[in-house]
Amino acid sequence: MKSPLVAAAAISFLALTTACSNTEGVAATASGNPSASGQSSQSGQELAQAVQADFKVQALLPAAIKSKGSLTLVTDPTYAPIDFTDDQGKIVGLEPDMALAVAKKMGVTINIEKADFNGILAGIEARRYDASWAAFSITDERKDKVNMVSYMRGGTSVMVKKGNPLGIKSELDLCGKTVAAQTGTTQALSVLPSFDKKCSDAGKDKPASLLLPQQDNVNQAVASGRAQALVADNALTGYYAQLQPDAFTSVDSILVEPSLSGVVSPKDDGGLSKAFQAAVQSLMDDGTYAKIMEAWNLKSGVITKSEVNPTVGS
Amino acid sequence: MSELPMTAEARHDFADLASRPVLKRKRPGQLIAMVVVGLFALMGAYVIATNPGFGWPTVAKYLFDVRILNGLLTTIELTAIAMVLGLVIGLVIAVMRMSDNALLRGVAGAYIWFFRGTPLMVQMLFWGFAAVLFPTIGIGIPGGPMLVEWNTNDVLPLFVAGILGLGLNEGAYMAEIVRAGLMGVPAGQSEASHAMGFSRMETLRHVVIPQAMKIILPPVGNETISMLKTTSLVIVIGVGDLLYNAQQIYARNLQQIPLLIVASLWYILLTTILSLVQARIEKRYSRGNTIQARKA
Repeated sequence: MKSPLVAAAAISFLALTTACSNTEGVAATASGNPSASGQSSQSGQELAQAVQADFKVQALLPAAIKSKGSLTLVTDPTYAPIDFTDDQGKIVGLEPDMALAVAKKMGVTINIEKADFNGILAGIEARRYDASWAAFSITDERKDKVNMVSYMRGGTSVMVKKGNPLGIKSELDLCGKTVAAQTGTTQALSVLPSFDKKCSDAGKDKPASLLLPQQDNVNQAVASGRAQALVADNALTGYYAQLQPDAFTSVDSILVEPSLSGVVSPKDDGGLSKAFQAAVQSLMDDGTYAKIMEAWNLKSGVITKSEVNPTVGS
Repeated sequence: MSELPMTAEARHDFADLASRPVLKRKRPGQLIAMVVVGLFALMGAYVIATNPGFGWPTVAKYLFDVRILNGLLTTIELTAIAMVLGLVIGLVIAVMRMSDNALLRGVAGAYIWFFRGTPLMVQMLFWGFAAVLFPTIGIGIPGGPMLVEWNTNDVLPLFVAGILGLGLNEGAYMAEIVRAGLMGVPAGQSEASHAMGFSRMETLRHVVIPQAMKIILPPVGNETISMLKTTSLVIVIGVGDLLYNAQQIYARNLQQIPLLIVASLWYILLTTILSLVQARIEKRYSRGNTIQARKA
């Protein structure tokens, strides 16, 4: 071509304002925006720090953990507000607070390592880590491989470009569109396939799914118009819409597949999962649990009873 | 007189020696080493074959899975197109780098500086999500009216974005390889060629490039083999290559290790094929490099 190719950031319907300069990807979601998380993360931390050891929980702790005096945990910190990193690169979020509160009940310290979400379950099975708090939804497939202790209720909601230009209000509005999700998540494994079925039952085109390895890429896909919508945990979509109101809008009228989230530990964990259950239940009973959930604007996810490997309606 | 018997004897001895069988020197150390290494290899093979964690039945089940084969095809396409793009860009940039014109040299230098200086994954994400910065691409006068406009995502499907990410980055490395090859041909060769009345282009074509090829080819083969695995970076923008598809399968059935082995087996097979091709091409271009024994 002889003529100059000029990329025009011209005014177009899909033109995003400069405010949507979240090209830093990870940095954007993990910048620990003080208005959104600064205060609440502090109070979440403070609540957890104040927890006292519970001898009933300690009695259930496997001898190996007791003698070590610490738990090696793992998470994928690209999942704000559940797990992300603050300005200093420290892992923060609802789960680090909850994990600390639980460890305080057990009378042990914690050390949280980072890993890619897709490698965590294999790492747990290989005993590289004692347990994982990484917003894992409890599913039958996962329960076959590892133990899961419930501590929160979640669901899937939909997030679109600012102002919802396509007017997406129900699941059927997603038919024929491109919908993004993070690889390996419940959304990618069961929610998107369920949309396929609903759409073909309604005589519409199936949505095309775009699966990407990290949530940041998924957000970027919507911001850049590669996908018209994304599906993620409701906690996440609410948080992003609050963090970047000039880029994203969360669709409140859609909540798919209410599910339970759980702490993951190896199948033969010497009773660690029972200790987790007792610690979470103890936090629920003394009111600390509800306060931590509230500190992260996650009151909708509160449950009253923690269970080891609960039955899930699949 | 007295020497004659000696020589006769010596000659006799010599003939005698020549008729004896040649004995091999005993090398007990080597024998021991062979036994030890052999045992270790057998032990390793046994451990790998019998460890259930490797999930060989699962590997066998998915080795020819249609998703894996589709991904393999995408990986081969990405590698081939990105390498061709990289070679073309590399040639152009290398020639620009060696030009007499300071502007051309500067632009080529800046290109290499930028593309070698930023992580490939960042470049990949940029091409994949370029629409955040440039919602539309068009032809027109900068700052003035646009003549034609297209939606960026339509111009750059994700596969094309992946090719651009890989190819433009490869071009920078290739430019340095080509430049090294061209500079490796002694200046006297071009001088002699000019003296014989060859033009600049003819000199390049008939004198410099054939000699530069010997220097260029081994690293190009190396880059191709490296590119084969580098293509797996396209997973960050959701292009379904071999690794991406393996990842989607193990995300569903949680058989991570067996599926990574499946992907690795294919990568190793392709690498082996490429290595053989590279060896053949090198042999062809190294004619005249070594004295080859001819059958008398």
